[in-house]
Parts: sequence; structure tokens; C-alpha cells
Amino acid sequence: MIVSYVIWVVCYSCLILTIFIALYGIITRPNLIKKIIAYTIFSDSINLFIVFLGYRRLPNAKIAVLPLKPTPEEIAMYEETAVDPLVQCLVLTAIVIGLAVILFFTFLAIQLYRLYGTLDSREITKKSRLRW
Amino acid sequence: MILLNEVLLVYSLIVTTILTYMVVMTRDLVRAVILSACQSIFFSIALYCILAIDIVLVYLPVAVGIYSVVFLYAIRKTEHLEKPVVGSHKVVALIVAVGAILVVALIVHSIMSGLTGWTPSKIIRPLARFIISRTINYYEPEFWTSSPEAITATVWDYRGLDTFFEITVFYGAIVGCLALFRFIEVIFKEKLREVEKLPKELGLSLITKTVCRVVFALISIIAINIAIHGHLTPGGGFQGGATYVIGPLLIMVALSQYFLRRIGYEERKLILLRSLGLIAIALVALIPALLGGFVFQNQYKPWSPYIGYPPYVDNVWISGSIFLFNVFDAIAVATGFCLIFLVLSIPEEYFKKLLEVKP
Repeated sequence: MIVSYVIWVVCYSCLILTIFIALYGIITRPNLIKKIIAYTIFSDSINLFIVFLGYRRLPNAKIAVLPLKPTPEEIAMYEETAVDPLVQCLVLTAIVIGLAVILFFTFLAIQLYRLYGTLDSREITKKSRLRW
Repeated sequence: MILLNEVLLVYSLIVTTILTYMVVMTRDLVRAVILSACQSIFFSIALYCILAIDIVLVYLPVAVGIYSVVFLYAIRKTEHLEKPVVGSHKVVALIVAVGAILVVALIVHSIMSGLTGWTPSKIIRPLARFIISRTINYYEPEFWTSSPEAITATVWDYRGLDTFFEITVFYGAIVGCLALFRFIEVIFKEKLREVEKLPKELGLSLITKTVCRVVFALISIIAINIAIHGHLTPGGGFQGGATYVIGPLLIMVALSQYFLRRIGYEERKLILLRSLGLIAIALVALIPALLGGFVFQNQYKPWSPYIGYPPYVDNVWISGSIFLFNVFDAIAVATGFCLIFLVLSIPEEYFKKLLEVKP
């Protein structure tokens, strides 16, 4: 019991730490491509965290794929052992939308480089008329 | 009770954390991309350990293949090295680090004491139980989807409208990307005409080319398999489409983009195919509504006059509209990504000519 508790504490600590390191990267790194790379890690770790919500801690846990012609007993068995399909469905949607957004970010970064000749966010702020 | 998959999960998450730190700290951007791809592989192992096979199938091609190649192209078009950061005072850095660790400890403590409903639980939520027990239930068919794969059934039947908006976002993003690269065909056409006159020995060595051809065929077969069996096994339209794109990408890297254009991957053709795929998705979703049912209706419902799509055709199980959605989605996604990569691979000098920016 204690060992499994420690395992889950380490799991969550690593995951939350990854989220924080990625957030640190987004905030402090000056290069825009680097910011986007850190952003992918940030969103992926949050997605993994959401998938954790649907996990079932059973030795005989199954993925939610039933046989083609299940009997009522088999359906009841899957109801007791299968992992949550809804969470996985939501994360699937989140990954696709994240991908679309990151593709657009990257194209915008390339366009910024064409216009300003640099990807350093500090220099872009200096060169643009935009002042904070 | 120690489960073997949880030991592997802990291992992969620890490696992930170290790799993330290295990604953030390194100044070489190419190295950062490669480390981030390694990190994604360990994330996929973690996802596999918590039995999210569908997500592994979409996450691996997206995070290891597509992200890496997009970033490498972006780095080739821009700069390789990050400029150094002026470090803050050591005392401030220490305070921030200690504060962050305290916050992490607080969050972990609150999760372990039940913030998210004691996550590694033995039970699942009622809605998930509903989906699992009804998705292929012959005995209570009023809510069934006729697909044994509960996740694809949720994506295209129970939450069909949600997926439709997801596709719309994806469509909008690709249109936005293409809009940033507009008018390039005008300049690039001359170059394409020149390349057609060149001998066909562009690209890497003979061994690489042959291996690439074989791998291209294998990747295509796996992608089609993932897409058309999406309603029976883990996988689906988006997974299949995203896997398929890795093939043309390989060709582009090993044999040059001009070869890819020569074998028929051209912008206009791809835009046409992609629009046809999207129109087909909309039609499959709207046909039930036109015949008296509701939008995204799949099977027969007692309260709706529409008879529903057939669960099987001539002994082949197709799960009604889910098979059609998967196939059309795979076409739309694969062509959308090919389009993005074709546009990304155009050398930067032509854009500079277009913008008249001095290098």
C-alpha cells in the first residue's frame, strides 16, 4: 500500500514539475520557436494529467474496446474493468486542436522572422512600434 | 498491490521531467527539437501504461513526427541558436525555485487527498459507465452506436457535434497557414518548370531512396488499416490521416519535394481532395436530418422517424456512419497535412523575393 502510494506521489510530482518547467520555458526563453516547443510540452503534460482522471487501478483493467457480439455478462464485466472512454475522447479533441494552433503559431513565427529578421521576442518588441 | 505498468509509468515520467528540463535549458534549437521528440516518446509510453491506446496512436505521429518536422523546417527558415538570456539575481532565482517546489508539493498533496476525486480509483464516472454499457448493447438498442470501440463511438456518435467543431478549428488553422504563404505559386512555378528539365537523381543515395520507398508503402498500409478499422480496434480517421502523412514527409526529406510534386502531390489537387472529404463529412452528418432524424444520427432511435445507417453491409461490420466518418476524416486530415508540408518546404528565398525583404 505504501509502495503504491509513493509511486503515485512520484508520478504526480513529476507531471506537475514538468508542467511548471514548461511554463518557465514559455515565460523566460526569448526565442519564439523555443517558446512554442515549451508550449507543446506544457499542453501535452496537461493532456496526460486529464487522461489520469480516467485510469482504473485494477490488475485486470482493460481498454474500452468490447467484443463485436458481447453477452450481457461480458458487458457487465467491461463496465466493471474498462477505463474511462470519455476522458480519452476529450483529450483526442484537445490534441487535434492543439496541433492546429501550434501549426498556426509556427507559421506566424516564420512570417515574423521574414518581417523583422529575428525571432528574439525582446528584439521584436524593440523593433516594432508596439511598446508595453 | 504493485502493478508493473505503474512502475514503467513512474520511470517514463521521471525521464520526461529530466528531458523537459534539458529542452528548456539548451540553447541549440535543433537539439531542443530532438530532445522534445524523445520526451514525446516517453509520454507515449506513459499513455500506453494508463491504457490510452487511442491517444498513443494520435500522439505518436503528431508529437514525434509532425511537430518535429514542422519545427525543423521553421528552424531552417529562421535561426539555429537562441540568444543568451540575462540571468536574474541568484537570491531571486532561489526564492522563485523554492516557491515553485512548494507549489508543486501543495498541488500533489491536494491531489493525493482527493482534489480530482482520488484519481487512480477502482470505479469510473456514471457517464463513462453509460457509454461502455450501451455502445454495442443488442439487448437495449435505443442508445447503441453499433461500434464496439467506445472511444471512436463517443467521438463520432455521442459527441459528434463536438468533433465537427474540432474539424472546423483544424480547417480554419490550415486556411490561416495557407493565407500567410499566399501568392507564392506565381514565383515558384518558374522554378518547378526548371526542375522538371533536370535529371531525376535529386536527393540522397540509392540505398536511402530504396528503403524510403519500402517504408512509404508500409506506412501507407498501416495508416489505411488504422483508419478503416477505427470502429473495431483502437484508431480512427484522425489517427490514420496523421500516420499517413509520415510517408510523404519521408519522401520529401529523402527524395526532395520536387519528386513528391512529380508523383502527384500538388497544391490544387490536395485542396480539392480535402474539400471533398469535408463536404462528405458534412453530408453524412446532414442526411439523417434531411430524412426526418437529427444531425449526426447514426442508428435507429425510437423517437426519430429516420431508419439509421446500417450496422453492417454484406457481412462486413461498418458501424453505420462511423466507418464513413473515419474514412472521410482520414482523407481530409492527410491531405491537409500534405498541403502544409508542401508549402513549408518551399525555399525561403522565394518568399524573400515576394516580400522584397533584404536577407
